[in-house]
Amino acid sequence: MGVPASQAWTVASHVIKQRLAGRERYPLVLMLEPLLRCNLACAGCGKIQYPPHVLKRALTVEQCLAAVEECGAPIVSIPGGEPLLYPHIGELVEELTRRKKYVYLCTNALLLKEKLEQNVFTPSKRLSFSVHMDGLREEHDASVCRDGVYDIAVDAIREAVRRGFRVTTNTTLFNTSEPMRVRDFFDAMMDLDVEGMMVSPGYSYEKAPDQESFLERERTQELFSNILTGRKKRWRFNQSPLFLQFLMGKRDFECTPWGNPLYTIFGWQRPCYLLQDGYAATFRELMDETPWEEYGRQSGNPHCQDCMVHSGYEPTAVHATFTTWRGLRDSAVATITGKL
Amino acid sequence: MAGLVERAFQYRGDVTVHTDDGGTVTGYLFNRDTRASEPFVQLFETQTGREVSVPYRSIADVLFTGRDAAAAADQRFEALQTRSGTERHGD
Repeated sequence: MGVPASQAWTVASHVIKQRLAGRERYPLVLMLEPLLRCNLACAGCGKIQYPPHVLKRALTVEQCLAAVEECGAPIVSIPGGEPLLYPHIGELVEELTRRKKYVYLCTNALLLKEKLEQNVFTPSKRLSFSVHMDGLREEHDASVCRDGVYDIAVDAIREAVRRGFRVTTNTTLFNTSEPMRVRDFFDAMMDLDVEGMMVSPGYSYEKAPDQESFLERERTQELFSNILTGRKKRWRFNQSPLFLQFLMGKRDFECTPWGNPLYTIFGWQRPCYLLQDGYAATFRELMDETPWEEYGRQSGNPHCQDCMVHSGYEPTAVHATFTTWRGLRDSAVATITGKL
Repeated sequence: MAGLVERAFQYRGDVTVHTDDGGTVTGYLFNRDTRASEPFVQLFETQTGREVSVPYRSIADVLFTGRDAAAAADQRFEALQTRSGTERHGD
């Protein structure tokens, strides 16, 4: 299993507590973006196209911690922008782990080896580097629009694993992805001894430079079915098996847009990590005053029709796992047998 | 005016908001709330970095005065695509 037992237990107890408290909507993972600046300009990314004075802005550590407390999610994911460009990243991660949060630091790894050599981070069961890897060398370098990035990331992963850090990978797939190449890529990541992999189809950001490569729903299901049918037992995924089955078209889930709320320099993003429909000043305002019925596939919102991204559907899968016997049984079977 | 404000909200460059008292605010318009009891927009001012709120009712005009960062990224990507295509043909 890709997720350590202590982390799975933390998530399970959080879900059960929320259900016992009668909360219909609750967050599982806080997406915390301390800055939007990045040292890459990937073709499928729509998150960094802002004027220079906006890209220079960053949250303070105090603002980050206040958002974490306000939200209460047991897991904090730090994407961006590139979080290793954040000057206070070491202090922020230390404060979060001290507060018993599980932290996923999402990085393109260009600066990771340098930060490890500077001892900015200390290995912890609560800290995982989630390294952006969109495929083997050719695919990844094309995806991030720069040659050599794959080799730098692989080198940094090796160094982080050698130093005893938890390392996972996060992979976005597009309509250019070839199933056999993706399977070879999974083998390559396992050879690097990463703890687990996360995969997701890309979201069709309106502001992303490459508008041709985003997947439609049926094509997503076909692609993931081709990749994951006959899954090798050695492949470890750091995500719910029910979510992977959803990507393969074996399950039908509805989006949980409040499951992975995003706090950024603009405030709490409505309604989700991907869509930008405005910002709330507080987490309570986000939860109470967002017209949730206008989002998700069933709402008919055109922006949601082809989206199958993990930030919206993984919370649904986790909820199904820990609130229904069938979900728990199916997750256990998939985890034990390795079959999806 | 609501349509113009919406376009400004979607725009990935700076704008200049003219208010009906003759004032102007130039910056990145990052938020708009039409459901609030007093609908407003929020900007990060270009020069000072200050966060500024402007009520909808006082907006006289919005001009798109800054470079569109999304369009610039599109151009860079297209140039990269063209260059890789040329290099492939040259192989």
